[in-house]
Parts: sequence; structure tokens; C-alpha cells
Amino acid sequence: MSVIRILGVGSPYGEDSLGWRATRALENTQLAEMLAPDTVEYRYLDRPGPTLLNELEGAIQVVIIDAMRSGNPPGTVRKLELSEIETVLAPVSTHGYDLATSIALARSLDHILCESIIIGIEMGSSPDDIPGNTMKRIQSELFQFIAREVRETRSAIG
Amino acid sequence: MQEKRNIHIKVPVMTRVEGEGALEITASDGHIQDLQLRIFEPPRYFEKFLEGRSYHEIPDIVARICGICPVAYQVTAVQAIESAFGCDTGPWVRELRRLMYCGEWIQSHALHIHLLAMPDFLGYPNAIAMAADYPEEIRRGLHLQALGNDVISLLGGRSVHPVGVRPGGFHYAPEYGETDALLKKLRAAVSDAETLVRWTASLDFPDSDQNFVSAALQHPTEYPVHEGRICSDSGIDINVTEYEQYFVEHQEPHSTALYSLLDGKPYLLGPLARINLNHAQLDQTLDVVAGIAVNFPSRNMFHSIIARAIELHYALHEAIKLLESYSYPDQPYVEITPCESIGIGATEAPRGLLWHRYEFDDSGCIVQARIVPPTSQNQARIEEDLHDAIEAFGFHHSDEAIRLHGEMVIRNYDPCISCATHFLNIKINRE
Repeated sequence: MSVIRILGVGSPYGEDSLGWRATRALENTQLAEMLAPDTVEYRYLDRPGPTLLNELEGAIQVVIIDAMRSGNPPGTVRKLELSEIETVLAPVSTHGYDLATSIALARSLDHILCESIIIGIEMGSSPDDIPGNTMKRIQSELFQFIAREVRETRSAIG
Repeated sequence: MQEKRNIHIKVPVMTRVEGEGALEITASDGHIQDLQLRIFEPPRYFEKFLEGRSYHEIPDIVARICGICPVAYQVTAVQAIESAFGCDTGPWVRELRRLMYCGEWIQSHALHIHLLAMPDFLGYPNAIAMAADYPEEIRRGLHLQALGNDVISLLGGRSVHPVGVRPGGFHYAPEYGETDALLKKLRAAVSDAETLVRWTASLDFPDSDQNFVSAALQHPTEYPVHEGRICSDSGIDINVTEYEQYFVEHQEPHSTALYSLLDGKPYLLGPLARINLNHAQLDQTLDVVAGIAVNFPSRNMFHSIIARAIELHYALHEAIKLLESYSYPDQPYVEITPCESIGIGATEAPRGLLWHRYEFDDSGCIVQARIVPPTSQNQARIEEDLHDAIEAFGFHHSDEAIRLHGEMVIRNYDPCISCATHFLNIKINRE
């Protein structure tokens, strides 16, 4: 039995709460049953900076979900390549250690990032784009998307 | 040989510091003609936001000033509130606040030493490049940082912008199971902290002997963290309520953060200043570096990295001591009755003395607030240091080498521009 870890990254509040909201929504689905006998863990990370690396240990697969700003319609869900996360994920940093820098540090330390999936959810751009409403609208699509990505990567790991 | 070129160096954005800033240097005939540390993050108006708010809202608002040292802002604020309303929280609250503050020192110092400052000393552009050759050291730093965050979370519910602090005490008292589990993790990290102190003390430091004033809290029975009188090695020894009579802020056109002077001169705050004034209370940690050629007080600002490691070691032992004597309280706070009054608080944030003053109306709402963070107080001292350090380094070096040296000098202060307004791009003009 292995651990698959879902990491909601961002803030509990405001536009940057999409990563947390998505993780909480996934916790209420059948994702865990679908991926049994693997164990699914859900963690909520408040702008973790370099402490993100500690969250990458002890799991066979990690899904990082964060809010992004890529110019797509609010609520757009995308799997991100490492090369693009610096430009689209929410620019929240601590002494320059944002998610992109922390992941680059993880790669330098040989953490197993090839088994990590980074999911971006497009933030709203106007006061009418309320994160809770966005999440309700995309919840089903998000579940299908994450379940498919996790299963594909998991079968590749073996 | 003295360099006679005219030089103008500009660093438009500084890295590995918190916030937005820049450095511009103009030099001719081997001497600096002008040096400006520009802090250009916009003002954040927190003091204005607080006006009209109730006293009980202050801890959660001021926590947002900084993602690295929210505990410092919260503890200083509640100290000021309790001072205003004549509230004695008793020893349980006092010790638990000291414990939470130790967590913040551990996480902040671990981050700065391993990810921000150490690449300078080992010749790497950043921690990512350094990690390839020093993976165990970087992992140790991340582990220590996470441990500090665990201490904060124990009492704050979370490590970023914690929510456990309230005027009069805490919203929540941890169960024995939680404190026991954390105690085990802290004890297991003691050898890492000792290794860290020895590692920093073994570095090859640039020669530097500068004449500066160190200022910090001093306490009769303990290393100053969250209480004490404000003292300096220039001879001041004052109550925190007398701060404004001695420390005077002013605006410089090139910076959005206020400058602060003591007796009309720059002064140093932070780990090196604290140790310079309080090293006698660090016997156990200084034993760890016995035999290594590091003496305190020190006038070499590059020794700041050792000071941080020593304070991290101290904070770890202090946290262990405080947790070993933990007892579950009947109630984790005392009630507060507001009144029209003025309250002042001062604590030692990771980067130095943090001072708050609040004026309240009779319902406990804020009439006026004043918050003086350590980085703005260090600003004049950083410029003074840069002037001496870069002239000593010499203008025969390339602009790039001068820029790197200047950044290293600045990072000795671990400036948090987000707190000070809040940092750094360098421009060197060789005229």
C-alpha cells in the first residue's frame, strides 16, 4: 500500500484559495475508494515556501493544486509543466521562495518530482469571480481530471 | 593600488531578500560619492488600517504585515494592549508566548542561514545551485525550518499568519499529547543545531572591523526574546515606554521606509546586536563553539550568520525547556477590560527590536497606532556598512563583483522589506 498525497497550496482566503478549495472538494469525492488500496492523503499548505519539500517525502505520488493566472477563463483546469509554473502560478513568495523556486530546489535535491503532478486552476479577474462559485462550477470536471491524471501516472509508476 | 576610475553601479532588483529594493552607488577616485539603498515597495498603511478597529482585532491584522515573523508582530501587539489595559497574564501565558517566539526564531534563522545567506559564503548564486553540492545541509535547514513552524503551529493553529494569539493569552491550550510529540522532535534536532553552529563558525569570513552601535532588549534573568529593557553598547538603558525619546525616525527621499537614528547616528539591531549585548546569557551555546576563533562582542557584520545559528541553537534548547515544564491550564487567557489609554510593547523579532504603540478610546478602539519594524531601523546602518565595506573591498573589482559583495553585505541584515514598507536592484556609477 502506497500513499498518494494531494497538496492544496495557497491561502485559506481570497482568490488564492482555489488550491485549498479544490483539495477540500476532492476529499468529499470517491477518489480515495477509486485509488484503493493506495491511501490518499489530503494536506492544506498555506504559502509553504521551501517547506513544500518536506511534503514531497513519503508518498509515491504527489498532486500539487494551486491557483494560476494564465489568461484563460476563470475556473480553467490545467496540468502544468515544470517549465511554465514560474509564469502562471500565483506569485506568492517568501524571501523569493515561491512554488516554482521550491520545486527547482526539490529537483536539485533529487526529490522524485517525475511522480508529481502540478495542477493549476485559473483565478478570477473581477470581483464577480468568487472562488467558492468557481469551485462549485468546476467540481465535477476537476474530479474527473485529477482521477484520470493520477491513474495514468500511477499505472506508469507500477 | 588605489582605483582611480569613476564608477556608477546600479543593482535594480535585489534577490534573496524579502520585498522590493535597489542599491545605487556612485564612486570616483576610489571613494564613494553617493550611496543609496532604495526601498521602493509601496507603503502598506497598516497603522492607518488599524484606526477605528477594536483591540481584539489587532493580533490577526498585524500578523499580515509579515509572512516570516507574524509571531513577533502578534506578541508585541498583545503586550502593548495588555500594558494599556493593565492586564497581568501570569506566567503560563508568558512562557507559552516565549515558546511560540522561539519557534519563529528557529524557522526564520534556519531559512536565512541555509537558503539565503550561505550561498554567498560558499560561492553559489543561490541555494538551488548549492543544493547539488550540499544536499544534506540544505535538507537539515529545511528540517529545522519545519520544526520551527511546528512550534508556531502548536500555539497558533498554523505557521503562516497564526491565529492562536489573543489579548490576554491564547485562544487554545495544546493537549499533552501534542506537546509530548513536539518535544520528541525538538530533542531529536539538538545535534543538528550543534552541527549548524560549528558549520557557520568554520566559514571563511571577510575581514571587517566596523565601529557601530548595537541595540537590543536586555533582561536580567534570560536571553531577551519577548521582554526586557532597551539597551545599547553606547550606554542607553531605558524602559520600552521611553523609546520615542531616544530613537527618532525621518524620511529620506529615495526610500519608502522610514530611517531611524539613535542619538543622531545609525545603529544595529538583530542577532549580532543581541549577542553583542547579551552573550553572557548564552553559556551553553557558546560552549558549542569553544575552540573556534569567534569572539563576541564582534564588530564583523559577516559574523551575523554565526549569531543566527547560535540563536537558533538557543531557541531550540529554550523551547525544549519550556515544553518540559508545560502544564495544561484551567483557561489559556485572562479577561481584559478596555479603557481609554496608551499601551507600548517591544520584543526581539528575528531581525531585531520591534516596537508598537497604540492609543485606545474608552471602548478599546484604536485612535492611533505606530509600528516600528527592525528593517527600517537597520536601513541607515546598512547604508553606513555598505559605504565602508565596498570601499574596503576596492573598486579594482568588476561591477559584478562589487554588486555581489554589496548584496552579501546587505543580506547580513536579513532585511525584510515587506515589513519595512518594505527590496533590491544595484546600480554602480563609475564617474
